[in-house]
Amino acid sequence: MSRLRLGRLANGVYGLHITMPGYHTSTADPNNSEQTSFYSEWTDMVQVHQAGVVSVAATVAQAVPITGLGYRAFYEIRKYGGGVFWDDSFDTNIVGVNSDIDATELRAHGLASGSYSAVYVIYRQPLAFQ
Amino acid sequence: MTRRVILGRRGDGQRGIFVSPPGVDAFTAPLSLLTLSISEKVSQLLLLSYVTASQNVPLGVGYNPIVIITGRATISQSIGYEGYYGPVRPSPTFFSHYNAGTGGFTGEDPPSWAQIVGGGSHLYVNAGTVTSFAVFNRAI
Repeated sequence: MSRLRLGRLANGVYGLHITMPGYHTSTADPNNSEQTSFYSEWTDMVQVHQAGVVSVAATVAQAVPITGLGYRAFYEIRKYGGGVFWDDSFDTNIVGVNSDIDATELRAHGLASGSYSAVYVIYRQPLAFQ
Repeated sequence: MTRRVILGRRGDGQRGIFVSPPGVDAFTAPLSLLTLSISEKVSQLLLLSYVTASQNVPLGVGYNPIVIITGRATISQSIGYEGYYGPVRPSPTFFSHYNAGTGGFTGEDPPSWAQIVGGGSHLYVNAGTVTSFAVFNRAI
């Protein structure tokens, strides 16, 4: 069972094809994520630049340094606490994590009272508006 | 012919595995243009999927990974936006919307949330609405 092929792929192009367990590189469908984990012909991929957890005290802007990007990047941030990951809004008052980003840091803004933690992911994808 | 896969040293001196999309030289292109770039301990996306109802999702990792969840209520459910489609941000929507199950109008959906179970064996997603989730290989 070959799950990794580097070189000439099944469709004749040269690249890298990695399949999921139980699928052979010569037969796995590269457009089926249950069969293929990576295919170098894919063009709609984005890289993760940085991910982590930030703790934010009340009323302050907690900065997360970003190195090596040089542009304002697309990112996501969600409240995390007590082992629970929350959606954009995390209570019935539609309260979300207030944050902003520039080329060198992501800032998570504190609530009026009480601290919180958040998970964030910064992608190597420049925002259209810099 | 462009170099689509580099195993070893790139033109900028970095060493690792680099894969470029068609028409882009993996040896010389900026890292931001590559499909895959593994040259350091960076986070990777392990799993991207969605649930339509609350359930356990098998992960099979031995740690608590970072997870980003996103509710996907559509704007078509919102009063005044019938016939339009697309996810509402923030999620859940604060618009009242039509509930086909009851035939009436309701307020916002309850927020979705997720929790790692069994030290990374599963992810439990409590889905207030259709909820997508992304699991990364970075441990909390």
